Amino acid sequence: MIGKEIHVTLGRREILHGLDFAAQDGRITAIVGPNGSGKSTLLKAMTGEIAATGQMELNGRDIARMQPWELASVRAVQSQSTTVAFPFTVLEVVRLGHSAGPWASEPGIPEAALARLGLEGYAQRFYHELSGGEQQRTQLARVLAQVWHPVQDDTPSWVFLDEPVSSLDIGHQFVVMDLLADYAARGGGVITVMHDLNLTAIYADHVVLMKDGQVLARGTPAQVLTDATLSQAYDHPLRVNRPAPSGVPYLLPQACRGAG
Amino acid sequence: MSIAEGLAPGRVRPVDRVQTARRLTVVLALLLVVVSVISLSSGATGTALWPVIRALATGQELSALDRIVLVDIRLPRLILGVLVGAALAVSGALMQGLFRNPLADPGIVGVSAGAGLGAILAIVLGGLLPLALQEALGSYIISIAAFVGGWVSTVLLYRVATHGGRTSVATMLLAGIALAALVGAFSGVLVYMADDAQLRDLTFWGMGSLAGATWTKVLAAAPIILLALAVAPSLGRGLNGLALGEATAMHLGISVQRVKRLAILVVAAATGAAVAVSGGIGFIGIVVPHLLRLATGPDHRALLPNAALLGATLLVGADMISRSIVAPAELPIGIVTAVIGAPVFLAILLRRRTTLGL
Ligand SMILES: Nc1ncnc2c1ncn2[C@@H]1O[C@H](COP(=O)(O)OP(=O)(O)OP(=O)(O)O)[C@@H](O)[C@H]1O
Ligand SMILES: [Mg+2]
Repeated sequence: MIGKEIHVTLGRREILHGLDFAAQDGRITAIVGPNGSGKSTLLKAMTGEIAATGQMELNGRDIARMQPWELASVRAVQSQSTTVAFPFTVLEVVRLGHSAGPWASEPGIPEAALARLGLEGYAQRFYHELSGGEQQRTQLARVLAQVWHPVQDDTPSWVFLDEPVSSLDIGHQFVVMDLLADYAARGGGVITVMHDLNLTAIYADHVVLMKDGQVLARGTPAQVLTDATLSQAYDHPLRVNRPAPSGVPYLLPQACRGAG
Repeated sequence: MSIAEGLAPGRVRPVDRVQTARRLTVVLALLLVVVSVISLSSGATGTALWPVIRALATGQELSALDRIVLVDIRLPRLILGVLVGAALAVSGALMQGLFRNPLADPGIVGVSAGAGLGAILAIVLGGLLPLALQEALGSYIISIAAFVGGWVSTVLLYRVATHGGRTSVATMLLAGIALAALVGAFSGVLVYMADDAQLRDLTFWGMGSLAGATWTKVLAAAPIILLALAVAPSLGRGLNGLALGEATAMHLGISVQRVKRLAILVVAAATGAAVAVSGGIGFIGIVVPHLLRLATGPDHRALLPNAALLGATLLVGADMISRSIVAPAELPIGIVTAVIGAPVFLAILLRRRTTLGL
């Protein structure tokens, strides 16, 4: 996935100011940054949901020239919030994803996707009767069912996710992040907006830090998640710790509170 | 069964509701046939169907009265009822999918009123058209005018009530009221302008009735409604996607704009043609999809064909009630459908108010 010189204007304001973006298949690319920095907007521009100028390619093909059904066969998208208008069951919602993707004729995928997200007993429940976190996992199962196999005829499939773990308890946060890591390890592409910098540090292969519609820093978690960069990005003094053996950075709110 | 399972929250539904819905299609088709036969064999003159069929089977001549009653009165009325019922129910299901809201209905949000205005314009001012055009359009002119009126009001309504793919119920209903008021005012002016013959046409038409059914009316409505009914099922997948929102529908590979435009056209065509030949018959579009969603779920691929069948059955049934309840006089069918439909509408409104904080 490559984006060059992406400009997005919503209403009268320019939200994204000509930023470049690149994500590789087989990796988890995390987009982080403060509220309103343009993370969701960038994701929407890359999925074709909102109009953007600039060059955007997915698997070497110009996104602007791809039909909705062509896009749907190589990438699935979870938005920051999804409402369901009618009383569909969980399984029916997941089937909507499955039937839109290239594996629609392979049976059992919706059930398997539900199982991967710990929703085995939920198939017949009504979507609108679920808790927020259960709904979020259902949407993720729908996304997964659409592009179930990470690689299709030697080309990678992609998932674009906007804060996939924002409503999840810590156990399910790990379930989902492990699932994404597995999807990437098997050759798929994962692009996800994240708020939790610790999970980002553990799971992301590549981090893009945004601020005010521009990229402030990009690189490995170790390169991006530094005291200086994060403090500048979030306008708050932040302190990053690095335990010796693993080197994976982590933030403790306790260590940041009142600093400065 | 373990205790945990026994206490598991949430209602259990059959695994594949679409399968159930497909079986329901067969049942509904049979039901429509049965109701149609009963409708054909009942009426004010007392002509019964079986003696006629027996007579036909044994090669006897039909009596003149029997032929007139069956072929010229009951049959066109039955066919018109089937067409109009199917058209109204499918329009309702389509509008609800389009607006992502189970309360959207051509009758309630003013689309029928818009179509009615078109029809009135055609009745009153149709004579002003060039003669050649009048002759070319023939009996279709009212249907076409109603279609245009319905289409303009649907587009208008969608623009007003929907913002960024979301529909506000309040705005939708209020916009519908405004639209209906506007249309009512225009219609009033036109009625005032109408001459005696036109006035008779208008009164007859405005009551919402199948009583004036003729073969001419059947032929004027049938092609438009059948075309709309044939196109509607192709919108099923698109409307399913739209239920998750416009953005997600697009991510699922659906050409959202195409689906929306086509749905609006089909609604306008079906509602317009139905209104042109039968006036404003309300609530079929609310009741039928609601019952079907309760029975087999909201999947539009099954909902749309089933709505056509159940809508036809319900209207033919309501027509029988309207003919028999105050026999030998006739109750306008709009009254019967309103008595059945209005409580259902209120029930949905109440349910949504409590569950969704409407
Ligand atoms: N439809 C819109 N019209 C005008 N401005 C918008 C619109 N949507 C978003 N914006 C603005 O664009 C900016 C970026 O929004 P965006 O949703 O991309 O932020 P974000 O980084 O995803 O934030 P969050 O962390 O809160 O999800 C914000 O300042 C927001 O106010
Ligand atoms: Mg966001």
